[in-house]
Amino acid sequence: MTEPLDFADFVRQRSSPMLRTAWLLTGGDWALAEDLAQVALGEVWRRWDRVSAMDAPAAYAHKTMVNTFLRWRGRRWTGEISTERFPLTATTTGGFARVDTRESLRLALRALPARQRAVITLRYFEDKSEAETAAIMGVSVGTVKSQASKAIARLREHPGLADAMAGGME
Amino acid sequence: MMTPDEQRLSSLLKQAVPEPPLELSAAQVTAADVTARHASRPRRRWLTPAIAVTATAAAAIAAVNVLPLSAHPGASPQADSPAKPTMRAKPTVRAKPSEIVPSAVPTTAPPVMPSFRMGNTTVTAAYVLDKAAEALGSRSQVGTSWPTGAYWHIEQETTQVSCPGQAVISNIWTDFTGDGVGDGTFTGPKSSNRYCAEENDPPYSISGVAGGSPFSIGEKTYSWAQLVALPTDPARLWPIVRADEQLPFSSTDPGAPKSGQSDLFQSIWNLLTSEPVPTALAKALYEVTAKIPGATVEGTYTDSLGRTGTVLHIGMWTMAVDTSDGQVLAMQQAAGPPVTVCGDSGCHPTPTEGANTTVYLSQGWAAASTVPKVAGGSSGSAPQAVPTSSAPSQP
Repeated sequence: MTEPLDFADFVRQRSSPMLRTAWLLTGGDWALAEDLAQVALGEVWRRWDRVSAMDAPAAYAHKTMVNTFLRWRGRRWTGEISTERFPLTATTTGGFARVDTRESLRLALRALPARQRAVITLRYFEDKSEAETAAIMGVSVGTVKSQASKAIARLREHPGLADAMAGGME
Repeated sequence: MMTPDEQRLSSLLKQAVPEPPLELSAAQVTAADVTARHASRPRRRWLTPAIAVTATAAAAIAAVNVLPLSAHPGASPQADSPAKPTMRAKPTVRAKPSEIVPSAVPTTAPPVMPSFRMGNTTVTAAYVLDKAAEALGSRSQVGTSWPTGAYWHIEQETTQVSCPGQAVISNIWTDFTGDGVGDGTFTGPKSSNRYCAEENDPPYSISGVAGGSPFSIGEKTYSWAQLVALPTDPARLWPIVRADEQLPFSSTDPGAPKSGQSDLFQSIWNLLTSEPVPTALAKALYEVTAKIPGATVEGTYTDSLGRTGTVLHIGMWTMAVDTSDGQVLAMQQAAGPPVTVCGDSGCHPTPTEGANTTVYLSQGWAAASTVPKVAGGSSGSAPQAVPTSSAPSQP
């Protein structure tokens, strides 16, 4: 039997992965990402007796975070912005491509509805299967497929992501 | 099984998501009613990217941007006496948060400098800046007093992503008061975007800042005399310039990020790229920027001139510096989010102009005879050079 996991250790271990996921969910805003991860970890803390005994407390924490984000969609702190066209962030100097692509990604993600953002994050950043993504979000596999497809189509249209989507970052 | 599109997106996401600039602690989590904290956080201010780049490239010190971190590196963690949220009574006795994260959490945490690996070496922004400072230290001295009868000349190329294919090469000559002449050479196709250049800028007059203090560091302005009098010991310079870095974004939310960090960083770099900063002061300024938390190393830079450098990023600014000679090669201002524009048809969100990039081509002293004459206008001729006697006077 494994030792009971200490909450402080758990936070230390999960801080970076949860913040990275939260960064994507919030459209690349560290302040909001921090808040989201903290709220989710606060939920975990309230149930820590039960969560710490789970086989996969990290998965529970991530699920809590995604659902917290989806519950809060529509509030301004999802970072969603409406824009008639994508702001352009292509670069003319190759050395800045990494930052440019990140900035483009950030802006493109913000233009996605919260649910599509969550699907993209779970499926392609966290490498969850369609079934796992559906289970975490509480939707059908069909919904995951359709949301992912729509999100990819929109991201591909983003001028700053066109090259990266065609061939990945350098 | 993923399709090629899905695989590319997955790869893109994994490479693009940056390392978090901070680490959460159990004390923060259990202490913070973050929802309430969030509700009280003021909306961030963003600067609309400069659009009139040809006219003001030398003096464009952007003003308001904040590092997008709520608990920026270096901030005091909320370590003291957090109480567990009271959703329901816990069935078991739990350690107090102070026991979970004991006093090992310092009250003033050292700045977290995200690192980047180059080959087998891990480098931080501070390391890169210190290397640039070192390189500058071995460079020949650039004047500590304004040379007689000469201008400071800079040549820059600016591109904007919202003006595809276009570039403007600006030449700017200024004297020690900031007065001078500029011109711009436009290349590329015409654009329907009204903010894009359509033709060359013939020589135009540049008026220095009122009061004769054209040099900016953070939100402070300096005359030439004041600038060259700044200490060149970074330990003495840092308290002077960090007064700006410490300016809070909001006087009502002490937890809000400091507005000045990225602005201070950028203003110092603007000074280094556009003004005749004495070498010793430039070295000290590099060392000062190394102390500003939040900058990250993003990779390498190569431009069409074959110059290479290291790319640093902070806030909405991305810069490339050649650590072999301390020269700033390029700077990019990121696009901000759309702004609301109100007109006859009402208010509506309007995308900002997107990122613009300035590549610094050359800078140095120029003879008055090389300065183009301004046609028409009140000056009617090339501006006056500084008095031959001078030590510049205080404004």
